[in-house]
Amino acid sequence: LNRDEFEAVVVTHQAEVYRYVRYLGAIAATAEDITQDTFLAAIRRTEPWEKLDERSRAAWFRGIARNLFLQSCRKAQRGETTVDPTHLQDAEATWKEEFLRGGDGFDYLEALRHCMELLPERERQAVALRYRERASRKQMAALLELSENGIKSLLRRIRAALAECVNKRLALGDAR
Amino acid sequence: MNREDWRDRLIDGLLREIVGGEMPPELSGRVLAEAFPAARPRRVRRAAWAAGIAAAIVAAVCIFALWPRYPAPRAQGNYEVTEGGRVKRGAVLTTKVGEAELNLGGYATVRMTPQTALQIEGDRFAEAVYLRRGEVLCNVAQERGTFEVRSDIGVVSVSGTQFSVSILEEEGGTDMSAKRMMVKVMAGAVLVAGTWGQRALYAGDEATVPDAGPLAAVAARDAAEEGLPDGLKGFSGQVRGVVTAKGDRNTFDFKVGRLLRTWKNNKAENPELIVGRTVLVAPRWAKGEDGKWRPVELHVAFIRTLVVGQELTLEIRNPELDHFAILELSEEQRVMARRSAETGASPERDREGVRPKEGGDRTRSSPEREQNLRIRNLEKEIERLRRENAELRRLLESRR
Repeated sequence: LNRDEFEAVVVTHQAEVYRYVRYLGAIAATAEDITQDTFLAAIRRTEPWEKLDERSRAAWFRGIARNLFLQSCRKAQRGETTVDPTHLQDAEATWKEEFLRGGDGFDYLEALRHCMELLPERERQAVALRYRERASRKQMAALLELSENGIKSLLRRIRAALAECVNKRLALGDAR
Repeated sequence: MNREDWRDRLIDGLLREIVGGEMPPELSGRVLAEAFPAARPRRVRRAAWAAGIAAAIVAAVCIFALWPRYPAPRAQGNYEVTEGGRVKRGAVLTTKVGEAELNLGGYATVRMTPQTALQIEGDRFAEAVYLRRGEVLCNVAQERGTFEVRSDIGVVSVSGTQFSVSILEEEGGTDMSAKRMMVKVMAGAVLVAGTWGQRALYAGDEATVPDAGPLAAVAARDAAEEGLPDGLKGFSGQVRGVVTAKGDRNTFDFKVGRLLRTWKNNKAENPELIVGRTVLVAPRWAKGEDGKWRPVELHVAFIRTLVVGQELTLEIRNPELDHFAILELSEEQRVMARRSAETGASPERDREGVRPKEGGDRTRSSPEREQNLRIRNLEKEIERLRRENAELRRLLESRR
């Protein structure tokens, strides 16, 4: 690949690789480094990966990123991630089957945005506090008159509801 | 972690992005910078360095090869190098029946007459020969370097002229006292110096030192000039000549070559008598604010800049006795004097522009040019007086 072709590949896949590494449990800075190293490792490889289709390339990049993430975890040993390497197969399966669904995850994101609008007011308030305002559980507990564990359970319930909504919505779309 | 946990983490991450604005960063620039440009410029830089070094080496070699080197002493004609060897600094060259020509530094040509012996001395741009016996005729190009003919009797220093030097030996005499040196100047000026003193000689002059022969004639002529002839008393005018000696007390000997003009206040009956004479010139004296008479500082500073052999145009007058005083300095001379006064520059420290040379000096200015300068100076003076006058008027009006 020449410079322009390689640049096109990076622009196409960088968001997914970064998102994936964050999904695995890396902090933002580590995710940036691993994303960069993933593409650098790819261009230095002798395998003819440039002949793969976009989805196969994405899977190949995820494989490199996963390995780099595991290396990073072993090097750091700081517990910055809660991922158990033995369970990465589940992580990959969830990513591939639920998020990508044969695409690039765009549909999942759109469905998620739609599902958020359907949330009841209290749940929407909780999502805003947690993700927009970056409030701590303690702060949220004070505002929503819940315990910290109650906040943890609430957020988990919201996420599960959103996932179910998205799955239903995407399943409906697939059916149509 | 089970699939449920991974799903929760997936939604968590996407909410951070959608709600919290934590978008995936743009990393293509970083990646490309690392993948491509990082490698290319290094190669280019290395190549550029290599090319630069190679070019510098080639340039250095070329400069070394093509740089005009200072010429080594060269000789041609019928000569021998004593103790063999080649013509080089330190070598002694002798002629017997024929003549030889020695070229030094590319600017000094020394013609050795028969029965002459000399040793090549000096240095780059300060060429010199030590004349042991015989006669040499020298031709020295201007402003290329200095040249000296040294001998047991003295040193003849020049900076662009034609002259000859001969060693005269009394019959049967081999000691120093029996030797004399004859110097003939065909063009320009030379300074002859030895333990017996020093003297400047000019085109047409011929002197033998130290002796009472031709030199005595020169000395007698100078002695005759000690007393100023009556026809020259009260002289006031512009002359051109050469500085022949510098005195201890801000005076100098000035050999007048030409009378350019006389001023209205000239009282000399026969001003032409000044031509060919060597006169003593001193600064003009002026009354200070404290009522005491002192030499004009600018004139003193100007005299300090002079060097023996320097040609210049001077405005002088004979106020009393036998000496002459500077009347006015030209604009250029004033600049030189001020520079000397401000910086303490002296000919020894700063010889720029005052090197004796044939045909003129750097302070020379034509009468027309000097007249123009004088007019300009008068105009400036008038303008200054006008400004002062206007200022005084304003002061008077403000007091009223």
